[in-house]
Amino acid sequence: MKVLIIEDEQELQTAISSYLKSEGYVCEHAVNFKEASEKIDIYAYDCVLVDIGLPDGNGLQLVEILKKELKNSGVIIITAKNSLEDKIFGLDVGADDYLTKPFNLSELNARIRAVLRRRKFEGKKEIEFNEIRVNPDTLQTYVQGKTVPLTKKEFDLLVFFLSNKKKVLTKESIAEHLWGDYIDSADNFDFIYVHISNLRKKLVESGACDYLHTVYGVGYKFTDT
Amino acid sequence: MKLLNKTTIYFISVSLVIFCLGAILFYTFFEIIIDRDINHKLHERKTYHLKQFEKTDSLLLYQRYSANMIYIQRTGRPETDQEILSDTTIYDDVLEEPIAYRQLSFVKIVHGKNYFIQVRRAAVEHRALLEGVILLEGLLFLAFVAVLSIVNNKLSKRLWQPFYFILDKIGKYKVDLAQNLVLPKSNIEEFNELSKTIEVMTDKIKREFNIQKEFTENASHEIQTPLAIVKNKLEILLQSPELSKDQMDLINSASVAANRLSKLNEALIILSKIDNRQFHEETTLCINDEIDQLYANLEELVKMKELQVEKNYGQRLTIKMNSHLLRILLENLVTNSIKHNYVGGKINIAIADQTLAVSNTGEALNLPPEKLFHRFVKSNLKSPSLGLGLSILKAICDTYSFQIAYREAGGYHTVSVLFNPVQPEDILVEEKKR
Repeated sequence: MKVLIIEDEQELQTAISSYLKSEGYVCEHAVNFKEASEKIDIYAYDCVLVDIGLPDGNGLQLVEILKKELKNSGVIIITAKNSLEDKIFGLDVGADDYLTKPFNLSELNARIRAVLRRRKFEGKKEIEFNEIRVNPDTLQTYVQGKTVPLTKKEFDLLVFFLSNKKKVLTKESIAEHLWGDYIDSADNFDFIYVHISNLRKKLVESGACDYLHTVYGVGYKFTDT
Repeated sequence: MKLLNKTTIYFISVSLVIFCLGAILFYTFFEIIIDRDINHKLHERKTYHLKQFEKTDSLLLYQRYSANMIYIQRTGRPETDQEILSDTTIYDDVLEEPIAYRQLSFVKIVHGKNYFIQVRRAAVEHRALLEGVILLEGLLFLAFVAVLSIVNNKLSKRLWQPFYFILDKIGKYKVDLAQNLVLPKSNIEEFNELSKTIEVMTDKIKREFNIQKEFTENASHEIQTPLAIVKNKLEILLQSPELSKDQMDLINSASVAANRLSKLNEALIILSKIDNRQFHEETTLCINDEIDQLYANLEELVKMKELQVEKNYGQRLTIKMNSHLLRILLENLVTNSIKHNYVGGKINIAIADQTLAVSNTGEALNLPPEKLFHRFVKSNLKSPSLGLGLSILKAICDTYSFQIAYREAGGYHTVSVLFNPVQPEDILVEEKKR
């Protein structure tokens, strides 16, 4: 999987690419509008992350170019401005998703995976992990072929974990993923705990191994090692 | 007090003094004239009586018919040219009251005998005169006030019309809208000067506002980026193998703080955007539906706290406003009702008479209710919340002139919002102009 990161902030760009590389992506970057348009011209990417506020141009224009030249790549806008107009315009010109800085890398990763899944024509849209199989379109979960009845939030949680396998996910990032900005996440750690233990119970009861590990005081990790 | 009333009061006070002075002058003037007239008449009477004396035999009999108007007495004194004018009071038997007279006294020889004669005339009735003058002046004064008020009122309304027009324009002016304030020209120099000064001033304010706005946006951008770096680097650090529990705790608390800072920054940006009235687009939304959707979204939270949600919808409340702001408003109300509740508590949502009231059970408030909507105020100091939620609510309500209120009764905390069904037309008009 090839990802182009268009971001003028060097430090942010290295952080993003280091996380994505550990997830198995091949990352390239561009630090300004000119470099980005050159790269888009020459290469093909599965997914492009576009920072709107570039020093020499508006990233939204890049999105428009991308949609013309690379019809098959997913586009995720990242911006420091939480501006509704930009968001609507960005999605209108064809971006697949929109993230406001500062975001969690685990969240970014989950969004990229979702975009790639949606854009994948040849491959399966299902996520597989050992005996667990998840279909994001039908919201169905299977363990060894048998359906596991999960609630919507438990399902979201499982997909989030599967997108960030073997990564420590903090309680904040989990809460934010599930409820967005609704909640001061700190208030609801007990709640996340309840959700996670329900999910774990349902998976284990259906015959899956216990992949959910508590990272004490910090969060959780989904891993088979 | 209106300027017009103030000037009228000044006018009336000054004219009152003038009318009082006028009354005194009138009185003295009349008194002198009447006095002179009486003296003159007395002399006429004297000549008349003396002629009558020549024709009559008995002067004393003559006196009897003249009542108090003449007094005749024999005297030993010799006749002189001397005449004495004096005032006196004589009791009138018929009227049964003392009456003031002016009398002219002299000695005259009639038919060879010396007589002391007093010719009298009723003197000026001071009280009657005074009353007359005061009544007259009073009537004049009232007429003056009435005419003054009417003329003043009509004239002022016409003269001040440009002023009120300017005032109206300024009142409706919004600094964040694109066009500059243009005020009408009038043919009054002072008002033109006022218009010009205000135009210059608002242009300046507008420039400053734009600079400030840019600064806020830039500042938020500048803060968000380093924050993003901090957060993301910590996230990567957290993935390192071989971390000790202590190290993890350190990373975790740093990342919690970074999260909090970014939320705070976001909330402040929203507040400043609301304060600057930077949310313009409006759509028609149904409060009932929005509320239902929000609670559905937070269903698990409600279940976890074992809360009972009761909805009393007396009407379908639709409102025209910025959808983003409405979402923030309702989200705050709804999450507060869950957050500040205890396990097994109750939530009551009532919609009636254009009012949405969200009540929830919960611990008693630790601070005076009037402080509740202030920024950075928290009932529980240890709570990890920012203390900005309700001030954002207040700012949104102020923008749309909704009335927000908090009350605590019977163990329920209620926040109610009275939505304004009539939207200020000028916002829409201004929008169209843009």
